[in-house]
Amino acid sequence: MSSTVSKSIWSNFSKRSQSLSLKNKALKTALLSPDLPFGPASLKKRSSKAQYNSPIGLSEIYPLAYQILEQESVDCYKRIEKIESKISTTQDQTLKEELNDLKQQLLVDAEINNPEVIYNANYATNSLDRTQPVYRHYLKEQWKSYSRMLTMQRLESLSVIPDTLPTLDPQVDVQLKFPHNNVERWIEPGTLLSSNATCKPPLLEIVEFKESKNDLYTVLMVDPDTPDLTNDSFSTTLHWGLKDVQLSNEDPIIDAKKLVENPDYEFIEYLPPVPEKNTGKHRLAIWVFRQNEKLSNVTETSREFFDIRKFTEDHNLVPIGAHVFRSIWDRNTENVRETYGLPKGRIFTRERL
Amino acid sequence: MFKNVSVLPSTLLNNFIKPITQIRFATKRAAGSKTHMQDSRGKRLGPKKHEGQQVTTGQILLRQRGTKWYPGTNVGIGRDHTLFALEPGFVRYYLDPFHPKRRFIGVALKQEDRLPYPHFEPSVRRFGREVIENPYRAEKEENYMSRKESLESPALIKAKEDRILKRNEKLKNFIDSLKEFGVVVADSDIAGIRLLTIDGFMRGGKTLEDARFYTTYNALYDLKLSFKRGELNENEYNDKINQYNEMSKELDSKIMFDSKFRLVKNMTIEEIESLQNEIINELDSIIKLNEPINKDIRQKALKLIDTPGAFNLKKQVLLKRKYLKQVLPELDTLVSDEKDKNAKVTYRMNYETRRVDVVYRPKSVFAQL
Repeated sequence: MSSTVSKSIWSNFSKRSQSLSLKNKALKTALLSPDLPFGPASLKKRSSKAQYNSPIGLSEIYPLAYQILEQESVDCYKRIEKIESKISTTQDQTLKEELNDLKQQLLVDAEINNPEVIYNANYATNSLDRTQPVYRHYLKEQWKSYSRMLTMQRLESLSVIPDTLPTLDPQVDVQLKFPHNNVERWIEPGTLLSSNATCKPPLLEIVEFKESKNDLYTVLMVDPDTPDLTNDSFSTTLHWGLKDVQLSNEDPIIDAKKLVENPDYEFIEYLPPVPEKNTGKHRLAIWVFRQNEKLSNVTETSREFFDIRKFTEDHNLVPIGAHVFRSIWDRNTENVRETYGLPKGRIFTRERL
Repeated sequence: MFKNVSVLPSTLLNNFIKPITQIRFATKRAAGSKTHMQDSRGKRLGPKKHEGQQVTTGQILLRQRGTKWYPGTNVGIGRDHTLFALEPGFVRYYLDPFHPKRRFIGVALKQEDRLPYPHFEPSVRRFGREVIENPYRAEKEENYMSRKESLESPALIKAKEDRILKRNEKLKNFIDSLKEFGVVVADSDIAGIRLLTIDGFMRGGKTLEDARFYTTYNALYDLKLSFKRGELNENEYNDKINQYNEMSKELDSKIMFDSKFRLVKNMTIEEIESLQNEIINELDSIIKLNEPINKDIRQKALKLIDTPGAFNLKKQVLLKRKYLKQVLPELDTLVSDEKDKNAKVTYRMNYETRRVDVVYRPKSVFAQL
């Protein structure tokens, strides 16, 4: 690099994580040089590079602006140091938490305008280091702009809220896929899936936007559309129950590997959705709860007539995220029933009486 | 004077009177400018079912012009805003705090229910279907296909058969190739199926490691299910698990798939690295960077880069870009002069001088394909 606009903190990685810098050398040179020595890195053709002219005055203004932002970041880091020393001396737990929140906010503010960070947050979203508060901030903004709205819209329009739980204040992004299939893709909330696609347990990714080290989670998968013939109504069936699942920012995935290693996570084994004929589309709601402590007294053994509201109340669980997919009787459902040792499904009248 | 009149002959009188006969000419305006002629009989609007009355599905609750009343819970609205019951139940006229300017008519499923139902409670629903007990009718209903399904199913069944045929053929090839790699397993069918599954997973985008893990996981999961169904007793189940684990260990130590899904000898990461270094050394020895190469060397280099199991696809592309350039760069030694008969001419815009440059280049700098 011939000359760099960065003179202080943003080029110093002794205390800052390496993930706050750009990996690609050409991009980094282009981003940190005042006058784009080799042209924009995004332009590949030599003729395109030769034709490119920076906006007038930008090469003078860019280093100045960079220095101002970098200085603000230096100030932020100074405040963080002060807060850290306060945290180490104080004994008051509530004050400690408040100071820690402030520290997290300052860590975001210190890097939010760093051009390298902004580039990574916008164009390298799949490989972001989620231990960094600033990347979590950008991921949260991205989630709020689309996925959160989509999930809530599906939960409300499919009446998962309030048919399972009264309401949801989403705090985490819950993503779901079924990796036992050849082609695995993330499932959009509300999708109708075939009985073959859902015949083995799914993989869940629970993306936390706050700092998370070894938090414990409960996951419930329920079907509120099971026919209840005695009351001529519907009942809820518990299809899958996980408790005390330990996740963190670096490791947010609940997959088969984790379940094989920790068999005590599953308190109710996975039962695939096997709707009976003419019972319509069943909604399979996946609810995610963050626990305050280990759940010691889970005694659920039967799946039928599961009362999810009572369960959450008994164990002081507050929902933080949800997902939903749907399932309907198809020509393969009977095979799935057979492999799980279930009796043959009933056939209901096609017309409602 | 009257005397004179009396003597007039009657004919004369008649002739005299005739022209006076009144004739109506079209001097009057046409009628019909009245505005109060649009009266019709009453349309019998208004409520047809009162509060608390029991109704069945489809019964009309209210006829109205416009939506003076809105359809509430379990009530539908027709083309002319007629409200009708969607479920059997009891009619309720009510207000909803979520829509303070509207009045609703709903149908509560139970007599004691009040509407609207509590907002955060689970919705009260009626299932409304019965189990078909008659086995003949049940089977008929199970086999019933919608028009769409019946139209599509022959093609789907055919596609599935083709898929199974292809799959079996592939499986046969995999089983045959077990011997080539010196795999010794008790049941070659299970080993073949394992290879087939790994192949499918890798084509779907999983890494070799993940593909192997999920293949084992699925197989053991199926074993667990058959144990739960009671088809295996505990000893058999444990034996089968051990057998499968042994088989997979043996297979994975001998065979792996490369980036183009070809079967190759299994290699550890160190072995792969040393193979890669070997290939790169050989490439360096046969190709000097930025020097023309002939067709044979190019073919040889391509084959080296494509050595089974050595490089992933990304690395292969990078190597091709480095060693097998389509056009060599314009170094002084690789540009010929004007008088060379075999030179190729390239015209190129020079944006600095704003002139078209003419570049003469020997044919050898272009890739010989």
